[in-house]
Amino acid sequence: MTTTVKSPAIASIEALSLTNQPDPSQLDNIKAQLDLVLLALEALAGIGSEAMLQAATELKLESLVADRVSLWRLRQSSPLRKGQGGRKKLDVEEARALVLICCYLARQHQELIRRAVTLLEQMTEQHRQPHQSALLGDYLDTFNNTYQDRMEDGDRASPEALTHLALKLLIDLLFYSANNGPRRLWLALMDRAKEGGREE
Amino acid sequence: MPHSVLRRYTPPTCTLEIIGNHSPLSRWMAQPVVKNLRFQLSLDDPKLPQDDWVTVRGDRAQLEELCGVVSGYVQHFLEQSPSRLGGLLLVSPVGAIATQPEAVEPYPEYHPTQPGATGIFLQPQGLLAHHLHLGSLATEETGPVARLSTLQLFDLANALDDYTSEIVALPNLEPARKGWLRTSSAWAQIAAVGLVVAGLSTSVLKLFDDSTHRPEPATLSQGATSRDQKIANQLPPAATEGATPPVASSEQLPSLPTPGARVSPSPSIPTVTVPPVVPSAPRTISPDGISPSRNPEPTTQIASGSGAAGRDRAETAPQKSTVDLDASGGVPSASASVRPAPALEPEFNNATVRRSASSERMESLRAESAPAASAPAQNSTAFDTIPQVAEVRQYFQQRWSPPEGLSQTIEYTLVINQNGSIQQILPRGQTAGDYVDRTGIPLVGEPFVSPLNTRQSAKIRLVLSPNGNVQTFLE
Repeated sequence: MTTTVKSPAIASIEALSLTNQPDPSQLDNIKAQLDLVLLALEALAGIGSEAMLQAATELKLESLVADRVSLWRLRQSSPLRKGQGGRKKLDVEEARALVLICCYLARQHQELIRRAVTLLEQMTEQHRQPHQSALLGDYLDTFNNTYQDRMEDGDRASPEALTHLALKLLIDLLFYSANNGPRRLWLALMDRAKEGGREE
Repeated sequence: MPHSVLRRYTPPTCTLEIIGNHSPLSRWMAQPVVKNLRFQLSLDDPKLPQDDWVTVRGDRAQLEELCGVVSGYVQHFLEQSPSRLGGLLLVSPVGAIATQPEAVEPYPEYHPTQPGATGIFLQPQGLLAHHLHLGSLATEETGPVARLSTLQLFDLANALDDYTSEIVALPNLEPARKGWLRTSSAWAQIAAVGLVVAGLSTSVLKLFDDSTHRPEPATLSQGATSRDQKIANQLPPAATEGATPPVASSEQLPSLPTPGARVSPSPSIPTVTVPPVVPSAPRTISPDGISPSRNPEPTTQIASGSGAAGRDRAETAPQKSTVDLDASGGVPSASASVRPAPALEPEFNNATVRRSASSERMESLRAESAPAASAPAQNSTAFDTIPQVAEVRQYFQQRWSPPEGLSQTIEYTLVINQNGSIQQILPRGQTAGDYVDRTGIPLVGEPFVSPLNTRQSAKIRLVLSPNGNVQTFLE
């Protein structure tokens, strides 16, 4: 694999700007999506909160994501999460910080993500279930279990739906692992927020 | 300055080569500025058999459209991730991950991108496969569609993003000017002359009108100059941009001559005489020949003149779109980001003129590879991106008589020196080599066509058919 990290060009938080302040329902969508992207990273690469905090430090985002508790509160802000206790409102600055952390971690694990997507392509071509590959099987199991543990609708979600969600997020992670991943993720969030806002 | 490969992007499954000249403007910019940009994109996934590799080549406009299409598609793809397990996701079959087209159906929001002016667009085939419709980039070898896996799409998007963030491509002024000025410059020049004549005549008429009331010579001349100045001031933006530079017209005219006529080395005389009319008009035009009924003319001609200027503007627009892409990289805004592909489209459409010229060139290349191409020989075609292409064609139309026994089309690549002589003759294929002495191709170093204006050398493909047809293309 030649997917080396070419330049340490860490996207700065200023690069992720927006013209309109998202309204609360849009922010809900953003929070949910960011939590899911991190969940996918956790499930695939075994990334824990320690690595996320480390990333925050390296990105100089300690002021926004200072410690385990603040990270937990940020992620707990997703409306998909079980339990409302301690839920924090996520503001735009914090959303930006999470975008940068997601993409930084995706980039660190780009090789693994790429391998997983390659496998997914191979399995699909051979008309085999993704579960039959160890890497994808582990990822899907971990994702499904964690999702069901943490999310409000986890018990109602069909395994197929969760598998699809996990695989889509895996492919998304590949795109977020690129140089301009932060921009891609930010734009995707903003657009989704808009559409979500329209729906609600 | 010869074209050189300026950048090569080599993600694992594709290779993007940027070919062009460094512009002197580079020194003022943080990024390299490239002119005469061309590109070659090879979808050379090592996992695929080499037969499945696809290579396309194109110009700056096509590359920019490709960038816009791919980044818009990727962005749209990313936006489709469900952020909550709504009704749709809860019932979604696992088949949705398959690459079969029917897998798309549960996710109707995976729209293909809208095809732009070059016909390039992407269409999803499930989650893991994407059809890149090559539009004007397609060749016989590639076919109209290239299938991309998600990894290939990822690599392609990254290569294009890296290119976009690294290089500023200048609009290709030279070929573009040649592309549309051939038809429009003549009109622009006529319009310019018409404007001057009509404008001056109006002013002179007015003078005469005035003179009936106020016959003092001093006032008369004063009035004349101020009006003339006004007209002169109105002229440049509309007409001078495209019409007056003699260099442009001397480049253009060789492709206009009547069938069979050999291009003279100084074909620009009729046009070059045009601008001098401007200053001399006040002296030569006599008021007798002017009737007031001519007055409406200037308006229509202004319109055609400004049409030329409008195209000129359209020409610069694509460059802006590069900048926009770049800028939005730094400053993505919710509104600007929503639908990247459609948002870019109008700007790309502005470049239609030039792009269609290049797509026609692709078509011509396609036609050229079909041996039975029997299009009647023309003396000027839209593919004559430099006048020498037409000159070469006319040269051989006069001389080419198919030798007996020749049953197939023969092709040569002629490398033309800056001074217009032949630098090298490259027969393409055995038969072409056998017949090279009977083609009438001049010897290396002999005067052949008019000197190249903007290049050090040019490669012209010459296609000679057994039925007497002659085709030439710039390579």
